[in-house]
Amino acid sequence: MIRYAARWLRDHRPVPDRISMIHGDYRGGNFLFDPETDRITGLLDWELAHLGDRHEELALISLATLGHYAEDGHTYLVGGMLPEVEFFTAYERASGLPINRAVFDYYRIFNAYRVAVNLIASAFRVASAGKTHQDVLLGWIMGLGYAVLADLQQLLEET
Amino acid sequence: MDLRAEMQIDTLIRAMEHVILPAIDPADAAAQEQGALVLATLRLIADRLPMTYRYDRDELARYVTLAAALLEALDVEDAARRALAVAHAEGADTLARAGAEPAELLERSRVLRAHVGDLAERVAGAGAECDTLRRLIFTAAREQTIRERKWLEPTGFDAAAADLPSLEAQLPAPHNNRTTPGGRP
Repeated sequence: MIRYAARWLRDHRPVPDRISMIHGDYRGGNFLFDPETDRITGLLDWELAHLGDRHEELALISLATLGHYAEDGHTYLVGGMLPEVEFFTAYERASGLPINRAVFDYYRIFNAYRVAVNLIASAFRVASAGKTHQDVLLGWIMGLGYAVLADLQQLLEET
Repeated sequence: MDLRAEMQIDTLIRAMEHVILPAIDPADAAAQEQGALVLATLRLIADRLPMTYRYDRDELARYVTLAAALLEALDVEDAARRALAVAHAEGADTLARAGAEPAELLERSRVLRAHVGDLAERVAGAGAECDTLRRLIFTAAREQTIRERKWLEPTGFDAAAADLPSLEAQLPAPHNNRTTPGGRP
């Protein structure tokens, strides 16, 4: 499925409407937040930052594995923050940029692919080679990789 | 599925060596001793685990050989001899079917995965004329992912894995292998 996805991604890559700074791992846990002012006060972990399409960042935080359901049990919160429609409306209002749904859908597949590769292949190689003091953690979080792989296949089947 | 016990044990050993043991109170003799025993046990397991299947096969081979010699030497035909003869025949049959090394199984899967991957890339770039191939690849991939998710359910990352079929149901016995992707084992 990984190799199928790689070929599909190469064949369908969209042209960005503008070049944006992409954080690369923008999600709950990678920003500091002041609850008294409702303001984000800092962004962390920039090692995956690069230039790219802004939809990549939006699609990453929309991954099912990075969000959760609200206390009502059925309202899905993007990134654990807002319901999907509210989240995207807030983005368009704050940025003044419309979301291109087709490009967004492409980057959902791209991010599922990237996260699956990071978890199943990169984490395996690093942990196997004894490259960090966190090898046991990397070996453990590989357990998330196959849930993401299932998401990746579902997204490809929906195209 | 790459999250294999051998790799995980190696990460546990490094965590014990570099992080956990240095943090144990030097004055706590029991904790020091048990920490060292945990590390030694993990090293023992890491060293012996790859040979477990070979050990089990060797154990069976020794009993099959001994049973054959005993049957040859026994000069009475009683219930004990008949029972030993049945057990010997069954053991010899199992031994004959246990020829491949685990590493050989892994290598054959790796080679097949590479060739299937080549084909999957071609199918991804093709149109509706490859729909049958696409369906076969997707069905097999879906089944594999369900197995991996259930295998890794204890990590706690995948809440939906609780609703997936048990590993006992997903891993067919050797005499009951799948014949088609999506087919029942």
